[in-house]
Amino acid sequence: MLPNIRRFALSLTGHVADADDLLQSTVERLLERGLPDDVDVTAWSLRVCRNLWIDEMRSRKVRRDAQREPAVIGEQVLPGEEQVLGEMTLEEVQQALFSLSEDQRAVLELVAIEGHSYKEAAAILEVPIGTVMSRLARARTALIEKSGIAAGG
Amino acid sequence: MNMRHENDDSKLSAFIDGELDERETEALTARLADEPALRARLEAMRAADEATRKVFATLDERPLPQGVMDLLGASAAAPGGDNVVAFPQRGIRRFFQAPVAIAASVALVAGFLVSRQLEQVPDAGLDAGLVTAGVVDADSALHGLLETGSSGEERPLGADARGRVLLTVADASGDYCRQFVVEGAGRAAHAVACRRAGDWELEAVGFAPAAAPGTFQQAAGPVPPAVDATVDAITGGSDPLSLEEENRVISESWEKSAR
Repeated sequence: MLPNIRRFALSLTGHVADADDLLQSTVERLLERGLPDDVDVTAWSLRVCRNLWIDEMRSRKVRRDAQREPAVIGEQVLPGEEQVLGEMTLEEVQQALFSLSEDQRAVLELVAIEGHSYKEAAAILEVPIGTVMSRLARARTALIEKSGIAAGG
Repeated sequence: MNMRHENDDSKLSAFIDGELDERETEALTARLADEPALRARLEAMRAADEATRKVFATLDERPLPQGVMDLLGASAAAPGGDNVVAFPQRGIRRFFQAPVAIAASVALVAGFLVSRQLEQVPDAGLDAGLVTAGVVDADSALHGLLETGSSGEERPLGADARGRVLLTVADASGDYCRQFVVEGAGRAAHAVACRRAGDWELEAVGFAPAAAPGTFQQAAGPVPPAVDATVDAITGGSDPLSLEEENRVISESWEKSAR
């Protein structure tokens, strides 16, 4: 579960350091308050994570500034610049990904990476299913356009 | 981008996630057969997903922050295996409990998350309802495989995934454990489950490197070291059951061995 929360945190924060801080606060909160009975633990944890992030954003009164700079993740672990995906380097994909809105990234992470259904993602993000659906489509198309993946038609 | 395209994008996106209903799926697949541009768009979307996975996978390769490990009373370098997560007993802590570390190509997870991760294996999701809190759901296809499948026999698990038992061993207490692999959509999960008091409990799960440099297409791939280590720990060096022994045990509904 830690990796799940961490990835979700990264999708929200767009920065590894912030994501790890957020992960830590989330674990702290979960240990402190425990879990209600009969909840889906993953969904609950991710909701806690998201709420903490929203609180954090409010208290900082800073929105979106993190997204101006590309996140630096994986620099030490990537096997090098030759790492390419189709026509792109991983670096470029990363930049494209972190230029998406936090909402788009979060939904993409939950569905495309964690494998949540639209219904589950809607519950975690507390938005209607239709919103999940349209955000995902927009996230994917934005990613295609920004990263130069051959867009076909 | 005009309306028609936006609508198509939304359909394609939901198609990738298996969220279209039958009628919509049918209509879209018919169009896909006829429209190369639409197919290309679908491929581009899938490529975007793969690219996203790859970026996030780099995160998994970084060690977890020390602060988190401290909170959980664990050291990232705890003895007992690099990335084996034991299934602990009670409370929220069990969902995190260490030793936890993320190896370069393997992320190991405990308890219920196993279900998430296993479900993630095939794109379509294993709707078999796999596991809750480390126990394989008795109604799931995976349970059927573990209960009655012979080693080497491949069975479908859900729409897009296949499962195969690799070997069966008895642990020190005489409980039987089975190492198995679930493959689907280019990803593979390796796991060990032991039959304890009638339930198949997952002991360890590892994932074939879905984000290995430059590739996404491996089938079963190498067995993650963590899963290997768990099997070794369980068997204590004794040999796996022969097919004959296995068949006997299956026919006796996993009556405990006298070992």
